[in-house]
Amino acid sequence: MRMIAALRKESAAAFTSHLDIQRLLQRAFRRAGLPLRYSSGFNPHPLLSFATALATGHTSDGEWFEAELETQPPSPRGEVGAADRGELSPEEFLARTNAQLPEGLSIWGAFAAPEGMPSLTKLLLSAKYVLRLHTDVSVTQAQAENALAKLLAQEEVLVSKKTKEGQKTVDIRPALLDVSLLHADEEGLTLSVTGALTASGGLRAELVAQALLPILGCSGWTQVHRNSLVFTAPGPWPLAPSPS
Amino acid sequence: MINEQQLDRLLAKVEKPARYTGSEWNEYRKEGAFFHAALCFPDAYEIGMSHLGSRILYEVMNGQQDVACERVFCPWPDMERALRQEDLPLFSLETRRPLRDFDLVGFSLLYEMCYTNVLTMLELGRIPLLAGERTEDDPIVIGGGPCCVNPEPIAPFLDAVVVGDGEEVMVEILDALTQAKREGASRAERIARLSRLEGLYIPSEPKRVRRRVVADLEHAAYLERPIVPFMGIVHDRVSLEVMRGCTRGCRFCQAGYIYRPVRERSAESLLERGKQLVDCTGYDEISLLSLSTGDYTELRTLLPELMDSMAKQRVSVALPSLRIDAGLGEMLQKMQSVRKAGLTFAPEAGTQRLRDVINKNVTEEDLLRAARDAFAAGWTSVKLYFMLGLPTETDADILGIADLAGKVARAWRETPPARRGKGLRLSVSVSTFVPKPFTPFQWCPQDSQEEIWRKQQLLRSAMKGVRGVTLHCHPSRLSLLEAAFSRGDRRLAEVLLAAYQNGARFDSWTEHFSRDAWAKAFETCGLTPEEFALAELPLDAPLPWSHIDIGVTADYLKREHERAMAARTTPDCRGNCQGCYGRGASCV
Ligand code: SF4
Repeated sequence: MRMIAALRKESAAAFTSHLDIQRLLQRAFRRAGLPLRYSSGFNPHPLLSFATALATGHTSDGEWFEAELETQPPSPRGEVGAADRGELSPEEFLARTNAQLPEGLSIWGAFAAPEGMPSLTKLLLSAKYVLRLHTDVSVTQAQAENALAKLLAQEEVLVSKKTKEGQKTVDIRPALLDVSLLHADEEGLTLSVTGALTASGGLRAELVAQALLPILGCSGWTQVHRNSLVFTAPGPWPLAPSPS
Repeated sequence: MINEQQLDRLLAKVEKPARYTGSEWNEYRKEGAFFHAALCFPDAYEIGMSHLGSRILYEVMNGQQDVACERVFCPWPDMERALRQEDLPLFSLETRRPLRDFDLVGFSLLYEMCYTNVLTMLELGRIPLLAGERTEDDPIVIGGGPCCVNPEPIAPFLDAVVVGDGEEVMVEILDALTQAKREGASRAERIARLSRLEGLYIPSEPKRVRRRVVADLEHAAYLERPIVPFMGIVHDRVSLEVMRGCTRGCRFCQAGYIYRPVRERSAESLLERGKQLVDCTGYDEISLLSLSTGDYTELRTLLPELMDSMAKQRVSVALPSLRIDAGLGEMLQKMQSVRKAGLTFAPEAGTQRLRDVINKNVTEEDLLRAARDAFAAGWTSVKLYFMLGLPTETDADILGIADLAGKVARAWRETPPARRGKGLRLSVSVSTFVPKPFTPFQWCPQDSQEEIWRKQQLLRSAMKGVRGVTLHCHPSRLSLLEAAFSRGDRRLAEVLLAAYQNGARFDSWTEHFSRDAWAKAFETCGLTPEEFALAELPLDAPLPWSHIDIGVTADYLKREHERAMAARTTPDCRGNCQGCYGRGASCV
């Protein structure tokens, strides 16, 4: 059966890479006695995929993923297939899996995917973040508001980004949907950021901080938390605002 | 303790932060224990977490009621820089306790080229490097592992050294030190108590020490609840130790002498453990570990049953150390269902004469039969492993390597295409011989660097004539240092310290190895690596490790040395004792 759920990632577990998280979940499912189904073909791989990857070091409240489990709920006509081991409710899935997850990781919001539902990646639209910017000098609320206004007023926001091919200059303005100040204190700023996020790319939230620092005229380091992913189809996730 | 915020700052600065976070599945975190022990592995997390012995000790120590044992790995150079910048001490993974706040700090010493990392860890852990400079408040620092059969080059940095199997003696050490802590005993008194335990060597008062041996492996500690790391590690699977020790008697192989006698676990308990370990880790691969798993008596019972019960759960079984012998073909048939990962064969030398010298009882026919069997069973990736610079080696032996590789490639071409896989990947891997203490070759010189380079060149040109084979020659510089530190004495401690101060770190990683740091260090101390590595040692003079009693006698090693020089082989000693423990003594 195709189960959809969200992974919360906090504290030390945030430093686990996307690839390692996939392997970790796979092992947790095995320990829970809910092994993943494998693809057929020459090189079978377990059927587990996330709507999108989360950068190593970022925390998140909801990384949505879909998992094809060996266990299936009984079919509507009441027949039980040979591979079936009985009914698996989303609640049971959550309870059994959470009992096998290390500190800092937990899942919630599970539901069985309705027939014909497209992949999560296809439905993904944008994401909301909270950025904590630790600055080396203290910044007042007014200075911060001012810097954000300047940032949003720019037609292009050019930042340098590390890629496989080396440093590259990119414009993050098109993908930056919204940014606002939540809080300013002695040690830095807390920002709310919304960025586009689709299969073809999107905003890297930490680059917003990188663009903001020169405007503020200071240096610092950033922690990124993803609050939510926004999808185009209904589900227990926050809905995308309608276009009108 | 390092707090959350300090940790986050550090981790933001380093690659692979998961090396330092801890809190993995199955981690032990014992708050409020009376006695704190740090188990230190002087290499990166992904290497250390792959070492079964250290993981067993972690459980043994945490199994003691009053003891909390926590792990510490060597910080990668980026983390070392971050710690120094932030002025923070090296800390443990479990509770982020600074190293100097532990009662006991123990290092696993598996290879000599990790020694500078021991110094990094001590210094970042804010513990004086030299045992003689430690004060009442400093932890007791001990070392254990195969390097400790010749502890002298690292001895001045350790308060005590454990020689031999650690599972049992570790409990005695913890008992002695916990008791001493309760009584408020002085540092000198704590060390004195350790000196009374069998298998413990106290560098400040050298005396004869007997190696500790766990006699009954079947009832020795198993790894019960292995940690499942967040990040990928080198051996990311369930490891089952089926047997300890090896009786084949290959004369270059230190493990073959220092882990005698052979001790086995029963197939029945291994089967049960295998299942339990898969259940509590979720791993999809089990590896059967030992020095020579093909020699495990009950393999023919264990393997099919284990593979059977595991196949249902999509768990594969790996045998990392198979020998080239008559039984191999059958084994390969049985492993048909398993992923066809690469096979490694280790003939070690290119001619029968030299294989007789080293007592590698493998004939050319054995190797070719094994290769044919493997090809016919669908294997396409084969690695042949050799050494250059073995005692008595001549150019004919080196040309023999190319010849043998050519014959293996031919065996592939002669396998009917319908039966074999597509595309042979044959590689020949060549390392440099390192004379090791407690082997019949402990007296033999290593080849000079120039001679090794000449031999590598000779082999490279000979291999040009062999189609479809790739050749890897390991850099020989490291082997020179390894030989020096394997056979060296206490004078090398000073060199080690100087090399560390010159910036030597992670020496076994080619990207970090600093030739200059070492060259300068030897020069400062007025020594050369060559005088330790290239010396032919007199058969009758005492050796720097003569005070360590490993079980196997010097007389026996001498006898084996002489047989080697005469190219005479010695049979496997199972059921055919060769008297290595001396007259009237026996290994069991
Ligand atoms: S004492 Fe005999 S049987 Fe035991 S390891 Fe030595 S040679 Fe082998």
